Amino acid sequence: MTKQVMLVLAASIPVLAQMPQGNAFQQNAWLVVPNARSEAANFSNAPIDGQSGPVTGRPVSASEVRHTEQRLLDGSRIHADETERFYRDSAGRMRTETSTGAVIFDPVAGFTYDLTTNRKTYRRMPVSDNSVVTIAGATSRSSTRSHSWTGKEKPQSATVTEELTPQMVNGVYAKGARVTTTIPAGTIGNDGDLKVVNERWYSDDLKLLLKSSNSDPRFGLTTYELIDISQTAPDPALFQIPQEYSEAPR
Amino acid sequence: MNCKEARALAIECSRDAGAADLHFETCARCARFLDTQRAMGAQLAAVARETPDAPDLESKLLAEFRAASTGRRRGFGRWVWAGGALASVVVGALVLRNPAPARRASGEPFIEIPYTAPLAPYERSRVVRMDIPVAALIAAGFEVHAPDTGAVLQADVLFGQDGRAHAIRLVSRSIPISN
Repeated sequence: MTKQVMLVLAASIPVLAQMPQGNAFQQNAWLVVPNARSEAANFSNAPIDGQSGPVTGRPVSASEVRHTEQRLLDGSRIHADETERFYRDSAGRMRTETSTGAVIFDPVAGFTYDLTTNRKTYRRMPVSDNSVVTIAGATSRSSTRSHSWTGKEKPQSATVTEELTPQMVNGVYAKGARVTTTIPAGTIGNDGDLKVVNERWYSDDLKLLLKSSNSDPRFGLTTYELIDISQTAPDPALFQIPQEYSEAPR
Repeated sequence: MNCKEARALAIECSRDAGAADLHFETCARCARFLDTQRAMGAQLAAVARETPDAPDLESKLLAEFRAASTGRRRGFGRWVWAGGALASVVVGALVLRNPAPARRASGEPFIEIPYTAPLAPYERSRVVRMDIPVAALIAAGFEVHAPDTGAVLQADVLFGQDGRAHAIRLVSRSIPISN
């Protein structure tokens, strides 16, 4: 029975490890971490985790390349690749674009638009305080934290953040950090320690994540990179609904 | 509007009476579905009011998991394997090809997926509404003692710029049977 359950769990892992499709209707989320400093706060001048609002005055165009890879119990591998175009103008509008559609986030007009290329339709959703999200678990975040909500004593996990030597990433000066979390044996039913290693490179100037890799025994390997980075202002038309598009019926 | 479209709208209607559609007045099944969504919305709002800190919120939400899964204990051994695996495949396919619209997020906080690295500085995030098997939540490290790991819950999932899931927020405790 235990083996069956574990196989089911293993088969289910890809659902949470999966990248969302580029044109899934979605909202941008501004992170608010209540009463907490970031993991990265261990070193000086580190910005808070996540984007906390529109970034203005820093236009950028680039391609985003994502890759995930998981090894299953039978030895086979599942991998997925995704490439999106990303644009941001000086007003903080953003557009992500795939071959099937695009999502435009326009904090100036106050709307998010989800465009479907083949149907030439769009859906519109107002940007409101719904865009601000909080993560409850983050309130107890610290360099060492425990999985404590069950009321049972469990081994404490340890998270270590290391500052990496700055380097150029695809032509942009980047700061880096490596965050290593150890999940001790027995914490989540694991019979040995699990190490989750996340490495991220980001630009304080562009206020942008440039590159990351995440190795997690539960979810596999995830890599992300921003390539073909241009800091010239993108075409304003990219942030408008094309005339031939109509609003999709609800 | 057909039933499928109506149910996609039900989440929003459950929070905004003005958004209700005529379909719900003419289709009894969808009307019941809408009632369930409204009841769940009210319960979640109550949970949010009652729980000022994260651990309490988590325990209550996890209790909802357990409560929602009682009554489906029979035939666990055989069906959990087949159901869970099938649910994973079906839901995975849905996530890939036809994610449910995240029309409106509620104000409740997200629950961090245990032991995930935090978002990087400046990392964009997005919220996508999707169906998640209970099994996937257990595998991710959540404490869910639901006997039916093939059950599916609807949730808003917070994804980072790199495509990793960071946190979830339950939307509904109605559990469609996948197998």
